[in-house]
Amino acid sequence: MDLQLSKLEVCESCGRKPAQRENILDARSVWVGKLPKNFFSSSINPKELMGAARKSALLYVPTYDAQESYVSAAAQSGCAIVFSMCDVARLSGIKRAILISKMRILLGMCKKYGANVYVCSLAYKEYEMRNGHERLVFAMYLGMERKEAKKALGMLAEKLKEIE
Amino acid sequence: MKATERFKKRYVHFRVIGNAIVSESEIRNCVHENVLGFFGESGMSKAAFKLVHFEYARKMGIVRVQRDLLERMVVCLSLVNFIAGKEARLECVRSSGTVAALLRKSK
Repeated sequence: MDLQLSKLEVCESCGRKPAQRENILDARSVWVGKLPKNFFSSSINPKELMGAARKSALLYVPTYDAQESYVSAAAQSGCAIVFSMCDVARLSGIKRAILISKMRILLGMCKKYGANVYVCSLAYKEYEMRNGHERLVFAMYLGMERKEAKKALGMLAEKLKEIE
Repeated sequence: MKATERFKKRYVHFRVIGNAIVSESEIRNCVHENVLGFFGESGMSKAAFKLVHFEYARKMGIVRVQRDLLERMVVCLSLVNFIAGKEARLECVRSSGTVAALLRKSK
């Protein structure tokens, strides 16, 4: 299941299912606003990150700074750290290389502390939505094994089921 | 040449998605520039990259890549977010060992 940052309709060219459904577990892609309260948190402030890592199910850090404090807190509380494909796709050249390098370092830290990881598109626009295979391969490119990558793609559905 | 010594290759079927109107040359240039940017000159030669087939009418194409580098090629194509500055991207649909199989399944 994929996650979007904005409310998107069906992508005509891709023929994807609509995200705005009654039961979000049935949808292939979910808008962030449709998620339960305190489920998804995003911040770059270290203090807020600590709190969010303890309370939320998904934690998105747009800068991908690898800090032991929030990663270990996320590992203890079972919070999953979000890796977005669109963040990488929007950049090019040296900036993209630096971001991928930061992502790899953060992923390494997540592995060290045993924190969960979730790889998604976080698309703003319809054409930015990535299919499952693309997300899987991207997760493997970041440094996950195929098994880990598959688990990382299904993290959102897993967390939603936990809440239900 | 023995079958085991032969160069192992895979073909990746991609399509252009997005509402922006992009010309054929813009798409071709975008594919080449992005692969060159992602793999570099040395990597691109090792990957044996080639844009084998392109149909502008169906907005789809097929690229050849060395089998070991298939996943990297999929990442490379899927990380394209703009084509000539317009809102369009390349989506990898499937990969196969022959062009014929991809063309048959793409119909």
